[in-house]
Amino acid sequence: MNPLLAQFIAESRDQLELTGAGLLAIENNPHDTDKLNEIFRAAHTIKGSSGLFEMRPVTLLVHAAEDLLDALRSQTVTFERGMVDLLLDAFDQVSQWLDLLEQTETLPVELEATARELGAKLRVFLKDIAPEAATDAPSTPAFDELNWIGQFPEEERAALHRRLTESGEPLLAFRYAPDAQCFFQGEDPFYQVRQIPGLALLDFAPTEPWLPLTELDAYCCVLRFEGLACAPHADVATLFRYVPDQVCLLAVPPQVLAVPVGRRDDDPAHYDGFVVEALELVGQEDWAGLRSLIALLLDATDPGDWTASALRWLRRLVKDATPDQAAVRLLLEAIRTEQGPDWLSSLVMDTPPIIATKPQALSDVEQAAFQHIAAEQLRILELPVEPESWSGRIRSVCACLANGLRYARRVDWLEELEEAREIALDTGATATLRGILARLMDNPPPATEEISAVVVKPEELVADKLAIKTLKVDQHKVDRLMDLIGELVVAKNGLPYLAQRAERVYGQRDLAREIKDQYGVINRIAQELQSSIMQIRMMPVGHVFQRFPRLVRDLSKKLDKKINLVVEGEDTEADKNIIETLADPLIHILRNSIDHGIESPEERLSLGKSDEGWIRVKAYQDNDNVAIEISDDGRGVDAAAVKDKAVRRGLITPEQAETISDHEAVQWIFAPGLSTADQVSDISGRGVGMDVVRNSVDKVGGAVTVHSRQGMGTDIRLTLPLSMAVTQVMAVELDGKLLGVPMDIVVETVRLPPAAIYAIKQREAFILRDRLVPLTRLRRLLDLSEPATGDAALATLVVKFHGESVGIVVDNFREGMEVILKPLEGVLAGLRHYAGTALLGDGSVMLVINLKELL
Amino acid sequence: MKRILVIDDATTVRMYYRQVLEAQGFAVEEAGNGYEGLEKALVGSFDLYIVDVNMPKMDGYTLLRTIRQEPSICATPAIMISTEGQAQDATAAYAAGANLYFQKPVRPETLVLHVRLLTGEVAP
Repeated sequence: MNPLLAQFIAESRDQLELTGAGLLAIENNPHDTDKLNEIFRAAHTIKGSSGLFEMRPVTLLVHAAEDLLDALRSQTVTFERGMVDLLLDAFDQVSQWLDLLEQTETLPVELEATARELGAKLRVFLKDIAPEAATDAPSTPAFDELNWIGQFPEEERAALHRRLTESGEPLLAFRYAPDAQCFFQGEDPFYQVRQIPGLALLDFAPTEPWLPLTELDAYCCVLRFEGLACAPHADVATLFRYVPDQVCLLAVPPQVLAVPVGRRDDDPAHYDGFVVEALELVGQEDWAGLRSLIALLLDATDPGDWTASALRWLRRLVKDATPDQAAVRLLLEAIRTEQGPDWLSSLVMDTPPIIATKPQALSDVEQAAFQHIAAEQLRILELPVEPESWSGRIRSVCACLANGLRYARRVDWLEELEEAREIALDTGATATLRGILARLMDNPPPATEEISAVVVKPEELVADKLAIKTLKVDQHKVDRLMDLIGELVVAKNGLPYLAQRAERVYGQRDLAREIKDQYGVINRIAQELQSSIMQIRMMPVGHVFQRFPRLVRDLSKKLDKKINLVVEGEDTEADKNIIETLADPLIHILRNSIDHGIESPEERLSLGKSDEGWIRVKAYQDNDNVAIEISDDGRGVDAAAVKDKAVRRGLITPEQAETISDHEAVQWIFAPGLSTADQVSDISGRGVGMDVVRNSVDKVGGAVTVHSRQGMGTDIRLTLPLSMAVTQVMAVELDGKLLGVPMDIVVETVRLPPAAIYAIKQREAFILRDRLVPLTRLRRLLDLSEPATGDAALATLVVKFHGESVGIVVDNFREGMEVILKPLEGVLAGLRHYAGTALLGDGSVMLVINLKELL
Repeated sequence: MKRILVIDDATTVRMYYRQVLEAQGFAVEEAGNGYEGLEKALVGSFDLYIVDVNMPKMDGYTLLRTIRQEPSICATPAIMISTEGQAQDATAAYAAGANLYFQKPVRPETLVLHVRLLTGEVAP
């Protein structure tokens, strides 16, 4: 994708997020001017940038939104609730279009209708203030007839006709309707027109009737120009190549000048006889006969008549040795009807398209730009100024002119300019300076190819002290860096093996120690490097929280509930991947709270609660974890209903249900297919949701627990690791192989004498610090045969699993290590007993078990 | 090489100017708001400022006014480019200290030509 477009999409998304959050704030407090300004600026930025691309729908719609926001800001309209809904809709629409743009890089033109429709809705609020500004570009001027040529005096046209028939030069009709704002785009239409080569006849007129002088906007171009030039089409097209949509050029034959003017006869039939006779002569190509016939009739006609004018033109057309028969016939036809002639239709319409030809020396355009700059500097000098800015204004104006003169290679003016500048600075009088400006404008420095000495100011060598404070980096680059760090960590882990080999295989004890020392250094650097990269990937969780106010607002509106959302600890940071994993589970939980947790206002009042419920989302850092708590004061989870459902689903027997505590039962809401809501709603759906939460959280190595107080509310707590890039594992031996166990669930290691193990029914347990801990054997979990161990103490890992301690017997303990955990892929991805693989320092691969699945 | 400081809160717009101007042999620095623009203007020596009107922290007018009152940088030419379509904005821009006023979007050729004239940098 074009990087500029990619940038636009990314930036606009950021801005849209601002508008979303801001609008909700405005809804609660319509007088928050800062917020309004912020939203306005966001819309403004999107609109401004969208102008760089072909995306009218976005520009149109955001423009309408911006106008409404501006009116709100300036308090020319009063705030209404409906405005926020419409503005949110508008920005949502833009957001969808951005998605589309990202996929296809273009927006279909049909979307303009949608944009206009939404825009019109927004503008309804503005109706009382001002009519919709015409946002459409002015249409390209075109010729529908050529009779306007008749406005030029007949003598001048006749002279031009004579010149053209003698010289054979081309003739070009032009119409130029400059954009009203052209002055601000560096154009000077009048100058531009005067630059037309071979300019012969020129007329200019306002496009609309002149306004009274007091209402006239002097900086708005209201003129259109039309005329004729003796120049080839291409030359003029080159001149107008930057504004092709504002000009119409047409190569025309000389006879188009023959537009009769004057008093019209009441009855054109008077000339029927003449026309018949003349056409006969034309047919015989008897030009001399025709000429005398015309002379005869001219004598009898009042020179001020339209027909006299037509006859004079006819005489001019047949003056030639070989007149253009078609043209003569057309003019005769005009005399008969006293209409036309319609030269335009008679022309073969093969106007070459106006395409910018290859740029030649830009001298015309450059001169126009130079003059424009000079004119603007003159205008600046005439504006009032604060005394403190005086020097700056004079200096910058002179710098602009001096640079312009250098560009035009007219360094001879520089000395004079500098004198004028000193006078202005010393005395405060700008007359000399303005004099120079006036002369420069009347007599622009011709841009010549001749190169005179260019004064180049030696560049000041200033050390680049610019400190860039923030970098925006493509996430892939950071990921790549992360991968490399991972490889570095693995490679680094190879050094202890090397040291071992040096000692055991080669007997180099000293070398082994040196390698270990060096390993210590590299290890430290690698760890710092790793934590630095982690820092880069850290993001505030508030990024995900941003969406919540909107969600709560929309849903509570839909369900007619009153909910107050409190968000705390948005600044808590966690790895980007973790944050992204968080978004969906959190939204599921919130939806559940809104849909099933918080009661309707009536129900709440009948229960003695306030009609407005609350939901609190709180994030904080808890050791190496991020904890997020979502609490509400709704009805809580009905433990009995959950048990009932579990029994009906056959997950437990009714007897078991009796023995299970409410707290345990409530945890089952995370089990697949156990939703207690009686009605399927389109908000949280049914049965899916909470199990999705557990899955997503498990996937990143987190945990989720729920506490519910019947009728009082629900607290759900998510615990997630700060980062998941590097995993701490404990290596254990099993059946002669190394296996990894994620360190985060390992609480301690103990060696159990076989005598300390109690058999309880089919299961085993042991006492750890006065608590009975269930015991299981990893070999049994993995279906490996159990060797006879005799009286040897059993190596046992104590792990914390869903809040409970469990002992796991392994063959032997090995060291703890940092590994990059690669999830299993392809067909192996189905092996849920393994969390993934890790590459060890000696090049071997270790499987890391997923105890949560195994247990 | 002439150095140009582009001050605009829209990253896309800055990137656009950068592409257009760097392709023509100018060195481009960016600032995302008026305040940052002023900081950069004060320490880097620039040949031209291109300034947006509506920006957070410090708007374009305030920035230009401050620049014109700061002796070390007051002589540097400045172009103000606005999204607004009103003619009186030009007067406001000039009163604040701009030397040239354009309306977005500016055609690349127009921008480059005027930048060349204002910096005295002849096309190669």
